Amino acid sequence: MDSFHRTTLVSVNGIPNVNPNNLLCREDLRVELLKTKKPFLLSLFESMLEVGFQHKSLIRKPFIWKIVKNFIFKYSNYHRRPIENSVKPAETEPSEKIEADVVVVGGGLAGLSAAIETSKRGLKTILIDDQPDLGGKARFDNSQPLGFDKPLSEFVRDLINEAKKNNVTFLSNTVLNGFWEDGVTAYKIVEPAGGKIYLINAKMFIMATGSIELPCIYENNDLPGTITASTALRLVNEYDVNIGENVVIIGVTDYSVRVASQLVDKGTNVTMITKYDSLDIQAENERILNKKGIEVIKNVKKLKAQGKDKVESIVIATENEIRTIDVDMVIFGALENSNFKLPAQAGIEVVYVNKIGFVPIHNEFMETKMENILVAGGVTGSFYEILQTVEGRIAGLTASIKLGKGGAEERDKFLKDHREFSSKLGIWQYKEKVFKIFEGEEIENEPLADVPTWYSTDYTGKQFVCFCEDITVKDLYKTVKDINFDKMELIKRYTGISTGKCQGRLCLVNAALLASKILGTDPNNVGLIRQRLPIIPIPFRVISGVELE
Amino acid sequence: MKVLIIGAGITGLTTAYNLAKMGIKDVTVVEKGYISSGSSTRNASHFRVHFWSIENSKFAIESRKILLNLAKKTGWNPVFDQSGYLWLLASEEQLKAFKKSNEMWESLGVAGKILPIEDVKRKYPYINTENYVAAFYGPQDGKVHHDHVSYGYYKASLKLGVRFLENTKVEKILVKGEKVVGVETTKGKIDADTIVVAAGVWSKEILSTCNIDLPITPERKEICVTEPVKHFIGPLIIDMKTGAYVGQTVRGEIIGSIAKPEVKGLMPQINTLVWATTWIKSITQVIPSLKYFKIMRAWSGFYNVTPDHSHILGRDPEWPEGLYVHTGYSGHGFMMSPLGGLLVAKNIITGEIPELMRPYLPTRFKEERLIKETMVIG
Repeated sequence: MDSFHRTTLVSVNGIPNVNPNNLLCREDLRVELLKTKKPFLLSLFESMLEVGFQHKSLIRKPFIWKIVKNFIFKYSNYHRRPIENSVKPAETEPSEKIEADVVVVGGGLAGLSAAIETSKRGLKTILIDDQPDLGGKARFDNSQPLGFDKPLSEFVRDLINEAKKNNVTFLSNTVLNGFWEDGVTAYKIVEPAGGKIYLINAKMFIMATGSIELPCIYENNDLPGTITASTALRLVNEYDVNIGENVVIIGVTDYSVRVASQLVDKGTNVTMITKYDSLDIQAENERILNKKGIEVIKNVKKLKAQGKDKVESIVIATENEIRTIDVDMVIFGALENSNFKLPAQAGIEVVYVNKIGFVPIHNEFMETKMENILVAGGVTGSFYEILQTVEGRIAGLTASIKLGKGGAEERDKFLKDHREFSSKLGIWQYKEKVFKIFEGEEIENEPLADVPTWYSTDYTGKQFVCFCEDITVKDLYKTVKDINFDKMELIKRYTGISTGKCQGRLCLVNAALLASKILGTDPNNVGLIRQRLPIIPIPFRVISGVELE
Repeated sequence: MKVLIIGAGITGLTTAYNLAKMGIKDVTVVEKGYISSGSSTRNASHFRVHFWSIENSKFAIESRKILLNLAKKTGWNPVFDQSGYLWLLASEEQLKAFKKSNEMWESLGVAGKILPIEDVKRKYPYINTENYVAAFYGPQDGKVHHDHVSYGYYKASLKLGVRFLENTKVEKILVKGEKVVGVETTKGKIDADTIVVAAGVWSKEILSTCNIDLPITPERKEICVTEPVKHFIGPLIIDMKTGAYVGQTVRGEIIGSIAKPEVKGLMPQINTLVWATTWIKSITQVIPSLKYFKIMRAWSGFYNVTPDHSHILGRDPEWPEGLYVHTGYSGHGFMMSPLGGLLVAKNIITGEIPELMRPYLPTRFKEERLIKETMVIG
């Protein structure tokens, strides 16, 4: 689905670590999954194999460590190495140089809006998106949120047509994967292990990389059958997949309610749960909940998923009662955060602001501290579609102004819209904080009150924070409290968190928030981890095809 | 004695730990970032005992012994893996040089094995041997987890009462008369009668504040890992044709680099395309099936290079009293500083120069007694 979420990798035609989301079905694909069952011998020792187990006095004795190490090597659940001459990779192409005035990264509402503004003013614009089609999450969203006079899917279709009419070049299945010291590259993904590198030369980059829907944290949250809200929407609206009779959505937000409503329309029974005692959503969405008869369970203190090979039921504990609901699917809908990986890798500082999350520092004009990089949409912490659209326009116009093509008057209009819609949505004051930090104002030091994704009250059990390296809340608690590591950089050194296959996309923000909560501190004190190249892994044989001068 | 150590990387940590262990009560470590945030968390974390010079070989042999038993001392398992080094020799001259050095290594009790090319083919079927005449295998060598080494020393030092001041940058070493009296930092003045500069590539800048010039050149080195696969590369493999190296971490990631392009000075710690393409083109010649791996995470760090690619320990008698250095490892800090820290601590406490430390004094540069070392990887 979302090609960034690469927690499950497969081996294809003998090639390890292939992201199935980028794999096009065709004949002669030999796909092998990783083992899902633990060897019996390993399960006996499982309780001993928590994070940092190797430092236990028994294991650290050199001769015992040697045995344990060989045991780990033998049972490590990884793919086998490829054997030269017996693998069948996809085609590669030599690298290609491309030049543009503006490169827009992300083809959702913000990216499309930005590309329209720049291309309209005669700036050569390239739009890069990791998906096969443009439109982002709006493409398969038939709801009509605040500020729109038609369903999002129709609105975004019009934007795509307008962008195409303006001769925006679209690179599909492509990730702008990094700012190297000596160049900028994008990688066109063709699995397994194929594709090509674009060497990009552009005057201005607009990063509209959207947001990441964070996993919720509760016991057994790693059971298969758990997806994000937008994935659910894509499955039912774009691929016409039946996601089951009964689903539970964790988290009641304006977005998750709109997703719930569309699932109900497809005949699915939806129960929504929230840890809060009141709903912080627009009146229109409360009306939808009532009209569609969607049950909302409030004040949930603790969750636990149950099931053998996939999630079969979920135990919901509130203050007064414990209920078990049979489910076919559990959906994460509690929190989104800016997908800041690319701007952060490029060198833009990321800060935490309440209600906004971790975002790259920017101002009202969508400028960052780097002359040639602008941001817009979900990446700025704007999770409302109308703001994403308006910010895209602002970023496009800022690029146009900076490149001498004008647009100041139009931008003023959108700046006004931005302020008005943000105020209406109750988030202007938080957005303004980010702008003030850009101007040099100090970050407030405010202990984190709540982790919206965490549905538990204790630090025990198998509540996974990191799905690649199997790091639980308990491991994190131990690292913070017993080992006294109080910064993400140090926590990473002890646990390996964020160094796994998803490169930290799923775990980093959750881990930073949980650590802040455990420490009773501001998330800015815990910080994040330096974001490194590349944004998405690139096959060696594709890099081999790069010809530099 | 009031000791102040500048730098909480592996060199500062080993010095602090050993001083405290030997009974010095008042030890403070000042670090401009967080613990080990400089070059110590950025390396390929391998160790070896085979060096061209007898001095470095002897030093590395003793240091390896400490690494091997480090878990007992620090309580942190360094995840020691004696997986060896495999040098792929590209010419008869290289083979001759290794054969000759192997006699010296044999005399030190750490003989390696010269492997004929057929043996390399048989033992390491994944290697393309067509560019090589033979290989040298060092069975005593291997890898550790650098973070567990650093943080082990850190935690053990804390237990012994060492104080750490993070996010504090030393701006000037203060000298009064012929003696050091403390340092000026971004967070105020700190008094000390003994100062150890263990600040890696930043040592030169710090020493220049008391008009001492140490011949250290920072060289930026880039490195990367792939996604993990089941273990198949045992040793660290060095291609003597191109200088590229590759290995597999305990976690299963393929790790490696090449010394190109040569970048000197305190450059930003980021990565270049020219490095990535050069390394990948070289290493996929050595192990062709690596073509199907993906670069997952790249970073860079500094080698702290001296004119003879060897470390600098102790003091020059002409320096202000109480000033010592522990630096200049030229890329070998992780394997060598467990011993270096011990020797410097002994030197500070007793005033005597231990035998193994004697070749590494800072005076060797002006006395032109350089160590003959060119065996540097990456």
